[in-house]
Amino acid sequence: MGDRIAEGKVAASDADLILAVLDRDDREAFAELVRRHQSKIRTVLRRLTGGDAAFADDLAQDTFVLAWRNLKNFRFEARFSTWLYRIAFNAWQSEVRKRRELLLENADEVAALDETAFDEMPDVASRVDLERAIATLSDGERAAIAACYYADLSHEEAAQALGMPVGTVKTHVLRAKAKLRARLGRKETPR
Amino acid sequence: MSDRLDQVLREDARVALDDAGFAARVMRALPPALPRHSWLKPVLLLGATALGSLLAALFLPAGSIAVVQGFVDLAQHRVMTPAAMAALGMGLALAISSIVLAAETD
Repeated sequence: MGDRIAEGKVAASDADLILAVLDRDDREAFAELVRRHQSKIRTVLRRLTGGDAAFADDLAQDTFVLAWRNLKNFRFEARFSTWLYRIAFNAWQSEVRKRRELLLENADEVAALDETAFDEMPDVASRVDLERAIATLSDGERAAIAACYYADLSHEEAAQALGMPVGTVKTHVLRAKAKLRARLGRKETPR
Repeated sequence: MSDRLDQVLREDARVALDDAGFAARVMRALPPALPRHSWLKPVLLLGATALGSLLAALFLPAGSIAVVQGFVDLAQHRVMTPAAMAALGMGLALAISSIVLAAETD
């Protein structure tokens, strides 16, 4: 009987689970939502925090607790995951502000990077290298990459989630990719 | 060309993280469930309104409209006395509060 209910929850849509939480305070339904979305949210936050897994998981926990508290405000107009990403980005931004880690953009540095290097040696870029390279980006660039690639949001959705103009998101993505190409390429350049 | 980097990023994004107790940790961090007494709020509000009305009626200065007398008048089918009208007004206010509360979906 319990197993059948659990199977039903796994098969239910996000909207069904949200309604179960709202109507019946169904914690098992919320647990299923957490299980369903934890991987993406934690991955995005790991990239945002420059690979700090413990910090990212703390933020991910805060994200889900905030989602629980504010679920009645979810309007079913956007995907639930998009709404969660927005909460996650806000949690991260507010923590970054608290820690006074906001970095100034350094546009000049980008121009000096060799943008073709990575494309010439693509096959050896490991995930660890990528994580390290992403960690060297500015907060804005990291946020844009996390939103557009890891959260799989469109530029418009990313702009909305990050509270910045669409043009800024596109610029951050371009700069970030130029830096990543250069950093990953440089790392793999044969000695 | 840029598409190798795109591919690497998207592949990295697709790597799934094992739950490893994360969901359980979140569930433990949720605020405890509050008892859901749907009747409690209306009872408290209506009770407070009725009590306030009763106290106001009891402490009215001498010579002003006595609401208690109004209910006595109403019981005797004397609707047009000032006291009866005051009592009707109070009853109407309570009825409106009840309707508003009943219409609340929260």
